[in-house]
Amino acid sequence: MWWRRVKTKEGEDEKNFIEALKRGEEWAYERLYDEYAPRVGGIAKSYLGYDDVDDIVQEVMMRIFKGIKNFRGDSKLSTWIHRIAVNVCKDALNKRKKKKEVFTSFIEDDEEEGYSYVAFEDSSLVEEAIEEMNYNSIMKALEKLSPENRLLIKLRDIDGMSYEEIAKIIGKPVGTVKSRLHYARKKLKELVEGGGKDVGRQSEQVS
Amino acid sequence: MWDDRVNKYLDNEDDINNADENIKAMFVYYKRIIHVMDLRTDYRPSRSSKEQFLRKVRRANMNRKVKVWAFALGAAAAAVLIIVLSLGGFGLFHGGNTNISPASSVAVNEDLSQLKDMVNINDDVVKSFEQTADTLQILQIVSDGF
Repeated sequence: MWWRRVKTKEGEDEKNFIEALKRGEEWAYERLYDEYAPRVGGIAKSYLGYDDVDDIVQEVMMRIFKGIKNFRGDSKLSTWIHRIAVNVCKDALNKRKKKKEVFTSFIEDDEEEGYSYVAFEDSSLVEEAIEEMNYNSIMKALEKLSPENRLLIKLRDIDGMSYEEIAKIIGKPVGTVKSRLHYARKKLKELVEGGGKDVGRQSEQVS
Repeated sequence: MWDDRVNKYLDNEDDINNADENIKAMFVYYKRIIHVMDLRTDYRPSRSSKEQFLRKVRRANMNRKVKVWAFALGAAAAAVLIIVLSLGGFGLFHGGNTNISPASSVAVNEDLSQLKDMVNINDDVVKSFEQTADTLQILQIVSDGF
């Protein structure tokens, strides 16, 4: 059947691609960067909550280069790469937290943390999106949302990954991923409605 | 308030057109938040970033090749050394040290006995020569040891 042929061709293509990566061929790394750097950067931006993620992308790409020889193909290449990206982001966040602990007494105004207000390239889309809601409250809500919740929303609602794939990436059972994502969605909406303030938690505390 | 039924539509388990108006409104509202988040987390790598990565790959590939060559050369040198040693070429590497490599087994005393027959000298002289030769041999062994 035609669809099976396409699938096999895709599978063979990925197999060849992985073999070329293992051999260290430059064209393969060029393709890897073109295909995966935007996705990895997107994950880093949503997880870490800041714009300058070039170093993170470089780190992920180099980890792929160093680790591809040990890639056995038990999972899809994309799943493996996303898992590396999430691990690198976690490491970066931990390092940042430790640094913050060390320098906390020297920082008075910590507004650099979290999302900064950068103009989007496609302003017409933004105008459309903020037609009915306050852009600032969305930014504040995203800032307030935990990195794990932002990651789940990014992987599922923006990148459109399946629950099974997400479960493999973050190393949790599918049921856990599902319930956490449902909670994250609810939390995000509540935060936006509260103008970035944690209304849900306040109401939980009152009750 | 959030209605958990929205999840069903967000996960494409059911068609949103079948939902009631409240759910539809919530669905659209959430989709708009996600749209803003999508724009916010959009990442486009720069050309220089890609070049930087490819440079690192090239350098790492080169280092790998150097390591392979160094290993191959080391292995070849070790193989040559083993062959030379197994063929008794050990003498090439020492300076005649008898402690490591025994000297030729031609005894001085045998030489002297042959010489005695040729030159026709008496046994006492031969004995004293033999003693001197023995002493010299002991001295050589001792000095080699130092």
